[in-house]
Amino acid sequence: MYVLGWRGVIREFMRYKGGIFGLILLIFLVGLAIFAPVLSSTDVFYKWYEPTYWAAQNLPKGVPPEWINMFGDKTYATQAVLTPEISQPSALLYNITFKYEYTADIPPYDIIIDIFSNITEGSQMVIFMDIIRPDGLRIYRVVDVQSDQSIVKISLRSAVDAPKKIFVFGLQFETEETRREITEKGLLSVLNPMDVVFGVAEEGIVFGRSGPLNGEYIFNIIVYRLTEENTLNDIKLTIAGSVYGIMGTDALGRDLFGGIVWGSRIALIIGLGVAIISVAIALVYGTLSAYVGGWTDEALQRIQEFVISIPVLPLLLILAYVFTPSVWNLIFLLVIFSWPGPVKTIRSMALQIREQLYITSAKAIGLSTWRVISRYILPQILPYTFALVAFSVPGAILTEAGVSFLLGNQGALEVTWGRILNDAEKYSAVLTGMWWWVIPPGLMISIAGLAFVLVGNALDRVLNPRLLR
Amino acid sequence: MSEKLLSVEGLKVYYFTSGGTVKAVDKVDFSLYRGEALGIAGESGCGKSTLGYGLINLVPPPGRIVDGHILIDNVDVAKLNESDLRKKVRWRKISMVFQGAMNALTPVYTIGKQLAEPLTIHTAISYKEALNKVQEILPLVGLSPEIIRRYPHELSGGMKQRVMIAMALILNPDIIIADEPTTALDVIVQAQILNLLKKLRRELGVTLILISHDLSIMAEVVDRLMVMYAGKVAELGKSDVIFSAPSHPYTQGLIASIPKLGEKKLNYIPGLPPDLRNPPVGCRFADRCPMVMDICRKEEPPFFEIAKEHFVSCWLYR
Amino acid sequence: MGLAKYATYRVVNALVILFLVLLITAVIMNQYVEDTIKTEIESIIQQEVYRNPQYAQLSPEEKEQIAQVRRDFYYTKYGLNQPYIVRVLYRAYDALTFKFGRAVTLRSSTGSSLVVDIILEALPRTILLFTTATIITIIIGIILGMKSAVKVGSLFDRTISTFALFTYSLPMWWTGLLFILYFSYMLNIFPSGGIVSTPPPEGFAYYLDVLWHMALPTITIVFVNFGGWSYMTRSIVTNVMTEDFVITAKAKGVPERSILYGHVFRTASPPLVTSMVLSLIYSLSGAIITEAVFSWPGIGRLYWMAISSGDMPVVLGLVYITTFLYVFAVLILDFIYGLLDPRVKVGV
Repeated sequence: MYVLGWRGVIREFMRYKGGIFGLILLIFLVGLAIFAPVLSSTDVFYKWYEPTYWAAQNLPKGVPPEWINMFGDKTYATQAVLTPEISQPSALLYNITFKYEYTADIPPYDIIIDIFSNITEGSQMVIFMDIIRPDGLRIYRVVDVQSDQSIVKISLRSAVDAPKKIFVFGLQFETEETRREITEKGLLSVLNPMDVVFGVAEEGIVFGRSGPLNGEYIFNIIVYRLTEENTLNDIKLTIAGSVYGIMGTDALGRDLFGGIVWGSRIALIIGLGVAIISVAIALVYGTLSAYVGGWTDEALQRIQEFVISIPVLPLLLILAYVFTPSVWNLIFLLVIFSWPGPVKTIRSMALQIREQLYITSAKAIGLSTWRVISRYILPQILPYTFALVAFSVPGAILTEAGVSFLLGNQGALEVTWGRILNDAEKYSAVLTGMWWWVIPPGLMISIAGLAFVLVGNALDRVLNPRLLR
Repeated sequence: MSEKLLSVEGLKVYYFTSGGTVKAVDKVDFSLYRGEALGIAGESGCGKSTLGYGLINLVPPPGRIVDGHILIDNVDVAKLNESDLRKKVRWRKISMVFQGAMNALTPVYTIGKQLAEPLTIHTAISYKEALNKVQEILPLVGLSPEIIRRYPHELSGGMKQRVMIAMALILNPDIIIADEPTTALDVIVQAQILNLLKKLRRELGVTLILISHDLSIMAEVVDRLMVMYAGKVAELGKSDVIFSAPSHPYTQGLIASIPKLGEKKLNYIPGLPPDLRNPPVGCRFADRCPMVMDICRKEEPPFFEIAKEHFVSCWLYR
Repeated sequence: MGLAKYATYRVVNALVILFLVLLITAVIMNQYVEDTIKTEIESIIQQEVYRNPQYAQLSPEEKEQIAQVRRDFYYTKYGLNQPYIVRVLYRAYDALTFKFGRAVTLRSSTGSSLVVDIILEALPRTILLFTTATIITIIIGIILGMKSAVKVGSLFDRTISTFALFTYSLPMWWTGLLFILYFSYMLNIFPSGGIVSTPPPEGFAYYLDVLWHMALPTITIVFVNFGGWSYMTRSIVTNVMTEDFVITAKAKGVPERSILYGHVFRTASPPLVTSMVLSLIYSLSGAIITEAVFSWPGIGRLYWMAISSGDMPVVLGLVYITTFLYVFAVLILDFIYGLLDPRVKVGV
């Protein structure tokens, strides 16, 4: 019989370069899964599909990761939250200035103002903002609103009148001809107001062709409270970057890094969950089949062959409709189709063990079937089940990803790599070139699969009892 | 003695494994004469099968012929390239009946196709003519001609071995090597196959090299016997002489260990053959030899011709 | 005869799978169809009873009584008060005869809302793409696998094996997305999806256009699968090459090529066909999703559209027809296996 002991197993395992590489990948994945709350935040996980949560985060929408600034010759503006300087020139007036040093080539995605205040019933506040550019030019009244809401969010890019005012500023540097063309073709809706705010004041500014205007920008906000009962509690100005974070953002302004990190937890739970349960079922099934033998063995084998020949995806899709979407139901469904995988291997191992002399003697003493299986056969197969689990994980992860990709929220409610890709497909990320939305989730799926395959291969060589060969 | 068909001189066949070089056949010399049956005997692992494969230069990798000559019609088989071997030697001059009859036939081809294959490759006749010839030869080995439509899995072990023998005969080669032809068979079938071999020798005058660990079958078939130990020839001579009066201590032990009726005690040679990756200096049998002397551990014994055509590699006959 | 017994066993196995899928389909279809009919009946009763001026003076209880009578009438008319098992068997019969009813929102290009029409329109396109890709994969896979089996341990062999390992855990559909990103979006040398350009060119150019659209999805399927295929071929062939009959053939003087492509390959072909069945199962799911990714207007794309628009009758029809085709394909491969393996062909 084949006994190595833990130390022996580890020493043997270390001889396989592929196995070590797989193990490193695996540790990396498990690390991501465990430290997800630290690397990201729990809100990212629980509120991934809540648009209000993401709106409050002031993230740019569909921008690439920050590190692309290290490559390429143009730098992108990064995310920044500016600190206010507040003065009160008169009792009802707040004068707030934000200073922003613009050094990049590609302007920020957006400028977002958040105002938190107390407004008495029926009263209002009036908010103005001017932008003073480094060249001394001033864009007047970019913001000009009256509000009775205590929480106000103004995005210069998506507000109703702010872009217009910015374009009016920009169009004065364009030729008469261009101005006419733009109005006739209604081009303003496709142009980016940020190009105007952060562009050199000469011809081409509205198209972002005049080049970046670097230097200090001053955002001057005046809040006028009608009565002294209205108070301004906090004010915040966010420069949404044209790049963001480690992995960029998707079209809904979600931090993809958070989704990827949390996705690793779900992937590992589903992958390992399905693999462990399936192998456990296969272990009992295969051993029983081999040990009992005869007619039962025949029947069990036919059932296994039958289940393994069922096409998984169509049935999974239809069953996913019947079950309520959740990770646990998904695991359950995947187990239904993946337990027959390892049965053949386990059965043939058990068959060979059964032929050993000591099993015959154990039977001769009169030990019950179950006792012989659990005391004498299972312990010998058990080490090898680690390899079988490792081999079963990639299939489960791959299928889960496929199902999530096709079904979206019908598969699991949580954020998974497959669902991130489902969103990417819905928002045509590929056709708009948002590679940072498409590549990482799939890469993670492949890495997870590869890690387990490599570890499984090495474990197979170490643990595979010689009797199988 | 009649015409010399084959002479082997200083043949060395080594296996180059990761654990070291295994000297499976080390400086072997012998000759074979037309019409005779030579037996090669020895324990498993003594290099007798390797020697058999070596004669048609078909040692499975990582093994190969390192040195020596195998001369047939003044052609050195050991020096021929693969394509000449295929065209001139294999099956035309020397054919082989293999050890594992169970797996030595291709499972997906009919018996007829496999028997006809050497004919279509080595002669200019068509497949159909070849099949006719196959059907002619099958009764010779005790098989019905209609067997050509069968597949190997439909035949019993004995029938498969008969097919192998028919296949070895089909080109009428000078020499047939039979490597453990009866090992995988049960006793009754063993006897049938041996009788078949004897009959073929009698009727066709086939020149045969019989490789076996089983001395009892040797006694029945062969004219001369070559006993190998650890890659070397221990003793070579007329088989009746060796059986009645073995000279090498190893041969003596081997023959003593053949179970005989009426004897209560089973004789055996104590100890194990040496590691062929690192064989001992001197006589390789020294460690197990009951009559070991000082010189045995220092110098390799040469061949001593103790009687006509009877060679022994042992210092006792100095 | 072995072959007859083997064939019967395979056919029975296929029929059992079909029956089971049929049953599951029927149960879910029944649920869906009955829910739809009941909603319709309720709206008819609303019209007939509650909004009927004739009954305006009646008390709510009396109205409910009349409504109940009408409800019973319609339930009997549509067979809703028959035993559950009978209703399910009805649906099973419908599915068996490919009567999947009408789609909710999806239409065929000719405007038909019959599920059968919609699916039959998509089916040939899937077969075109998937068969082409599979044939290319098998050819490349077997050639490379044989090459590395001859030179086990060589650089070529190790490259193929490593490549197979990497593609093993690669989601095919994601690879498709990457290829679109690179070849269509960045290099712009292949169309990003669809089966023909709009407007479709005429005559011979039409077929060229289809080929051009087929190229990227085919490359994707082949790219992801051929490594695994050659690795599989390699392991099976190297296994066969250690068998004794190879030595026999060599001793017989059979040329190296004839041994490899005759004795060895012929012996390896039955297990290769078995692996073909398994890898077909494995790649089916990937292929369905890959089609969706490439907007190839076949079965996979239809799955995507039916699921995202919640078109239940189409989904059910698709599940049933895909399973049907798949079981059929496996059955054919099983027969080929039977013909290739003399142990099956002439029995033991």
